[in-house]
Amino acid sequence: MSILIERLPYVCVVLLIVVGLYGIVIERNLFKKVIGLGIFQAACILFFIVISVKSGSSVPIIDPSLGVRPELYANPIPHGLMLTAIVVSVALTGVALSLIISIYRRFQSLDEEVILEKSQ
Amino acid sequence: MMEHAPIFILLVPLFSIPLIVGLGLWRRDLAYPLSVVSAILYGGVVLRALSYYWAKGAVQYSLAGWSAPFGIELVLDGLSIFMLLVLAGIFILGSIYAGSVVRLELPTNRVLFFALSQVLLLGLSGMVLTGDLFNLYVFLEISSLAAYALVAIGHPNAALAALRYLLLGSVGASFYLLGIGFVYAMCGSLNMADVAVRIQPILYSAPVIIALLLMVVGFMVKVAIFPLHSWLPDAYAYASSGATALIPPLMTKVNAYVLIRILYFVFRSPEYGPEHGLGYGLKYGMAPHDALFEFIGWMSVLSICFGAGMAMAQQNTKRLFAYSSISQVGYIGIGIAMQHPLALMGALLHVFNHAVMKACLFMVVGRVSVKEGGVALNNFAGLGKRYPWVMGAFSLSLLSMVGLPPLGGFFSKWYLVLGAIGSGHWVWAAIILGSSLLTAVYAFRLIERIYTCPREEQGQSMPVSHEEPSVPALKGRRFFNIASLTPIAVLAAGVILLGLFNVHLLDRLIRPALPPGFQVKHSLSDSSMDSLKVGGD
Repeated sequence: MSILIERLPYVCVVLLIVVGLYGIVIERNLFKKVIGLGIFQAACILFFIVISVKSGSSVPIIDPSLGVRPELYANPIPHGLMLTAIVVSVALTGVALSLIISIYRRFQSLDEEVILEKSQ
Repeated sequence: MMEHAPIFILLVPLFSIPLIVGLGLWRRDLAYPLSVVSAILYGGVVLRALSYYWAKGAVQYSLAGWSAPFGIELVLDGLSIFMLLVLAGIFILGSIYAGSVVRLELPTNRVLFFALSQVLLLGLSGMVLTGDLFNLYVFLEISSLAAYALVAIGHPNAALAALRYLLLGSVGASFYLLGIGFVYAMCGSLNMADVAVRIQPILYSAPVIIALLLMVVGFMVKVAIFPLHSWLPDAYAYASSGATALIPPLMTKVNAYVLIRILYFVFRSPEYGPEHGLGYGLKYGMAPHDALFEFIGWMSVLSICFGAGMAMAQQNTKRLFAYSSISQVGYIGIGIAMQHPLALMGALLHVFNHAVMKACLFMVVGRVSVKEGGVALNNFAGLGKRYPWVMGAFSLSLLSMVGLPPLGGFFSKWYLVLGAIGSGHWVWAAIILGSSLLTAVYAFRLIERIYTCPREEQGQSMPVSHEEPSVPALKGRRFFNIASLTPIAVLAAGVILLGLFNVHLLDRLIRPALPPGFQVKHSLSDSSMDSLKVGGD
């Protein structure tokens, strides 16, 4: 129980990962699988943001009145890394959605079971 | 000038992408020659980088002048150069070959195919060259996206196979990303060399173990080790023949290279004595996570057996070779898992061997697929009589996969077994030897079909399957034209040469690729069993 209180952000990240994996694996609709992938990747991004927080810190833009001590500002490196990861996620989602369009044109269905049946 | 070699290696495919797209939209026929020229230029730069490496030693190149650990580094050491040579060789031959099948299979998507293959080359080279963990993730996703798109073009079922590949591959890459997050949280750095130093004191702590686990599992998905292999059979079976000349020989190998980097170069530990009781590998200064290595080893064993077993049951040749790829990559995995320098050398040698063999096999299968309209086993009946030389090359590659000396495949298994004996993994040694029999079953099944089964033109004695026509069989064209014959011939010659001259390859290219301090005591041409002993004993 103390884990839930002390590490709440990390617990949320883990829950989102599980939800995302559930979506990818269990859901039959192809769109829902892609949504599950999006949730999963959002959880990974959230993890990086959570580790960049310092207690009592401000946004990572130097404020002249505060000074230049690094412990006053949140860590900006994970933010930068995650911008790249968001771009990667967008590209993946784009490719996935265009693949779904192509699959729908061919099989007239979005249900994975039905498509696997038809493709045998 | 050549101290900028690492970035030139990346710039060649980077600039050829817009060039191919631009000029290809103007004149479609330009895409193929441009792609071949780009691949040859890339090979030239890699060879220059190799000579520079032999002259000056390892290169650490800081991008844009921002020095490590704050900036991103490109590292050109023995392992990178070895993988780059494999990439360059397969890509030149694959690009030459692709021209012969892409025109027939993907008439409207030619430009995109060749541009995507350059994106794939960029991503794979970046993965090999980079010295930064997050940069590796970026290049991993670049190469994976190109692979997803390349798989999706062509066959009607390919889109679903590509979507499943995308979903599973992205999950794997995201696990790796999570692992990077843990490493960054614990070390504050992303540079591989810097992390290797900073992570020493905390190597046993829970977050670092979790990080290593996440990274390894993520890459096990990409390397397609059982049971995380399920994207591979469909993806390779339904990909176009041009894509299967490029993706199967390379993707899983480069991802296995990343496993070697993570396990042997980043998560290193200082020398631990046997009194810590933590396993065979520790005397040689490797990561102290023996259970993880054992896990990888046993999963690779399952891969070997599962892949070979499933391959035996296949009627579709492309799917057969897909399962065969799972099996052969299991050998690479087991070599990584043994923590013995000879086994690692065997794994690296197998990377080269398997790339050459699989490329040759998939090229022949691709051409048969285009000409016959399908790749069922029966489509191969009687081809031995009509095309003796090409089918000879095909059989040579199959025999090399089984592991018959003096072909290349025998020597990689030889070093794997030596490594298994040297590190005390007796069961794994037995499995490596015994699995050659499993490989022989499906290899000889194909060879039998090629050489002993007759096929008549009318009233065919063997029903030729058209269950998956990827393209209507084209009459009146040569079965194997120059563009497809040359790469197949070069690769078949490579299979023989890799076997005969493997000691030179090992001494000059693979031994420098091993992690520092992880060397074999004696020269490999020394035939005594002293070579099983490792330096430091």
